[in-house]
Amino acid sequence: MQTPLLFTKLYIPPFLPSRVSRPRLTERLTESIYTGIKLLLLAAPAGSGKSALLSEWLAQIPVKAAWLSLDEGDTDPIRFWDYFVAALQQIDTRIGQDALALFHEPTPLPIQSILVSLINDMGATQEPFVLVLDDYHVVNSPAIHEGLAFLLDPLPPMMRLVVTTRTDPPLPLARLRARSELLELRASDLQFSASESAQFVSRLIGVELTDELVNALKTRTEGWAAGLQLAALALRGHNNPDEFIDNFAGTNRFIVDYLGDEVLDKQPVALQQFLMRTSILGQLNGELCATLTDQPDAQGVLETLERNNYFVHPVDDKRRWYRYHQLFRDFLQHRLEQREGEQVQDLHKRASVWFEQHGYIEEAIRHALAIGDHTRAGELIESIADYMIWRRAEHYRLLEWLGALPEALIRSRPKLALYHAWTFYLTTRREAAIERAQAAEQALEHDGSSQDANVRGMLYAVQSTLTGIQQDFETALRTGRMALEHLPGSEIIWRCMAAINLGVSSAAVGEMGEAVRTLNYAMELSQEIGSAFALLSAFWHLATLQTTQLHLRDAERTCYQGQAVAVTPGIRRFPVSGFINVLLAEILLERNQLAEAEPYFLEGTQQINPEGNPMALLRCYLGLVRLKRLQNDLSGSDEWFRRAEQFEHVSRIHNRASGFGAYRGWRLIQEGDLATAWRWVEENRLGLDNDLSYHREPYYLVLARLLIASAQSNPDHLSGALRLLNRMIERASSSGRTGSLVRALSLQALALDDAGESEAAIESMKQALVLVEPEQCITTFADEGPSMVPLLQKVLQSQQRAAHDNRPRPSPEYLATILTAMGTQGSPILVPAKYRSAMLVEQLSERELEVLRLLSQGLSSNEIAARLVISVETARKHIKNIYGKLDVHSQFEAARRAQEIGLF
Amino acid sequence: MYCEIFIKGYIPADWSDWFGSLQITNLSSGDAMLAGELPDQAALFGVLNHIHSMNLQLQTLTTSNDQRLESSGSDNRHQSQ
Repeated sequence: MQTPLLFTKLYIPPFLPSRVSRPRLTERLTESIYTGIKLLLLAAPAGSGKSALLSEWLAQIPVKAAWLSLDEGDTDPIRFWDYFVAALQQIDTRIGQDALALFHEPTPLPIQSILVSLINDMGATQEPFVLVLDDYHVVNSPAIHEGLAFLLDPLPPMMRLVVTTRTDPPLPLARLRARSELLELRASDLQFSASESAQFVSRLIGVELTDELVNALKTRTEGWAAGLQLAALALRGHNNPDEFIDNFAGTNRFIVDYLGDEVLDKQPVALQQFLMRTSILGQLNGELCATLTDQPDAQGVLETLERNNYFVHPVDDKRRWYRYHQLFRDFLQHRLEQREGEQVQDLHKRASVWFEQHGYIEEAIRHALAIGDHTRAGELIESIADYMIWRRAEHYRLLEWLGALPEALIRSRPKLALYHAWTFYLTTRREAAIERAQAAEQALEHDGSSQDANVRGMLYAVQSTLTGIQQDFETALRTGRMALEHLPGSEIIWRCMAAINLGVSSAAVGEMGEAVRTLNYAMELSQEIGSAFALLSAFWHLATLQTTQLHLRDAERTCYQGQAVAVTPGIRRFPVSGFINVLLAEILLERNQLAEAEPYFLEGTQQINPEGNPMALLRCYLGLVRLKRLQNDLSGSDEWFRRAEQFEHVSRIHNRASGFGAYRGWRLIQEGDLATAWRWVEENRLGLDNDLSYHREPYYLVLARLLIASAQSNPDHLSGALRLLNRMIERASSSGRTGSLVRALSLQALALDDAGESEAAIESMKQALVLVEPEQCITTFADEGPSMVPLLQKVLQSQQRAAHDNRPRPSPEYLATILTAMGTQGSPILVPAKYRSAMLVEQLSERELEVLRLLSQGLSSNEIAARLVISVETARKHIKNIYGKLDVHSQFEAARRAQEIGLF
Repeated sequence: MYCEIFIKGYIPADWSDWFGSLQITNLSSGDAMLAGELPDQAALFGVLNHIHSMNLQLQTLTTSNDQRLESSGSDNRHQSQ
């Protein structure tokens, strides 16, 4: 597929030597380069010579310049900024590489956040440069005006923005004027003076007019460039200029009509026809004109017209494409309708076919729509929709086209209805999207025969997406799976989308295997199609699921993959680094590397866009709440908790599965406020026999904790907890959720232990530990509080007793690591003294205990050697071993540790 | 919506299609009057845009939602510029 005539939009019109030089105006423009002017505004009617003046100016100044010609299609904000960046890259190819990649993503990101990166890129440019936006009046999108105003404020000092327009643009002109940042050239400035008029006519047709005639002409046209040019063309070959100008000055008929007739009627019939018929084209080239006019040498005609100044301008270097001046084109189109009105339909049809055959689908659609050939337009739209959505993100343009089609047509073509649904979804019009998806389904039922599996697969993919956002996961899963079954391998973009949706839905219901499989697949596909957004979306869901479910090593791997994406051009400013920081912090937290985790969390709070991904930010806050608590910094923990609550309130996400709602209940238990905790259970309608959906799992874990904590006052609670936990264990193990299983097993062990069933408790605890020992999980156990310590201790002891048991069991090192962590975090738990010495990985020998006792009294190694009658070297060796076993680095630390673990 | 637009200079009657099908009357004053019904404001702005893009001079513009206007001397006639 060809890029839709992109290059012609960026072409700087050359200054023709046949034109009048206008130093009085170009000097004013040049001055602006050396002052604080930001915006150069040329506001005047069509044909005032705005573009010609700028091309003269740009040819004179030794400053880099870029040009963007705007047309009706540029009302789509993404399309506008896309071309805007493309124009800037003519100045410096490094500008806007990030921005360009982001504009192409299929899901809208706030434009302003992308513009910030653009402003930074432009600011890095060392030399002054000029960007011209030609015909800005065609832009009618408030979003574009806002973006441009946003850009103007911090416009880099090296940049000058030039805007030509027929009407004043809705930009903050008054403010710019007040700050002397605006240079304006208006209609009165651009009017040709008498001498300029005389020069203009003589350059154009080689005839010197008398002052009297020049004055008459100037008065009649009011120095309007297009009027002068038309008059000059009409004058050419006129035997009697006096008579012509006399008649012209004497008529009230409006200039374009009067002079247009004069000019056109003098041409040979074939040329008149050529001009009229080709006036339906926004852009002309020889081959295309030949198709419309049946004149084989159309290219030659175009070149002659250009040479003779017939309002035909080349729009590329090679003179392949041309454009009529809008004014002249309007006049010609009017004549076409008057004289050959019956031809119009056929001409548009021919143009549409030519454009389609040459790969310019957008132009083909434009001409089909112009004559109401909706079926043809519909077919063309279907053929280009994937490209518009996934490559160009021009959703609004697509919506505009689809909006021009009759309702009945869309309802009769399932594919068209599906694209309509998808575009509505992407522009956040959910209701309309659902309605269109239903229409597509009905159309498919009526017309099952002619539709292939592709369309059915697309329908399932759209349904999966729409039901997913409505939290109807059962349907989302069913349709998502069917989408992947039906979509052929060639429909890679649709498959990618279906895989992400299926993965996200499986993650939402906690189906581990399917979620990991499909999200990994989605990551592969999104890399293949080069969509950073799709990749990021798959990455985030996969990595959070792996972290939550304690697949820490897999989660790390996924994070590294995400990190690799983050350094590819275009993604640097994407919020991926914020996500990665939160997840790495959670992994470190789980491994009890608290000091290392903290900076990652803090950076995450800075990097994550609260609007873009509020859930990630809340996760970050929650991580800090837990971390501070584990560091025994209770006021710090309270502070983050308050911030999390506040943010949850502001961003209105409290009804969603954020994990924070459940934490609120857990916190009450930790604080010992069981009465309030029971009220929290009631408020959240948690019942022992309720359906246990995955997203409510954290709530039911809290209920189990509360039941266990309340067992002293009501022993029935223990059996209730065990019943609940049994159900959770069953579900978690059938869905392959390690994290869920480990949490439920640990609580089961605590409940069994309290119920006096020590052996069963030890078995449950071992199961839990074995599952996550390879991941070195610690905090999940530490979070359960002080009662976990004696339980772990029992596990340790039971293993020492049954040394020859071959069943899988946690290593004593792992158990000791957890116990040590729980003792050294400074958390408020009090470890009974009898358990403390057992926390050492290796017991100290008798001699080492003696050395340690002396060390604790502050004796040096020399003194210790003397006291124990051993050599100094031996004493030092003992000290080194002791340090190693206690994991300390100084005498002071050793003494403190000895005290902590209750050795003396 | 009924509307009357006065423009400096004469406009041939066959341009009517380009001005929202308003009827064109060339007046002895040297102005042209475009008059007739338009569906809404959007249509009106379309006509005004076209007037501007042809570099025609707008003199006055009057609209009314319910009744035909007298072609001159009406109180709610707005002087442009």
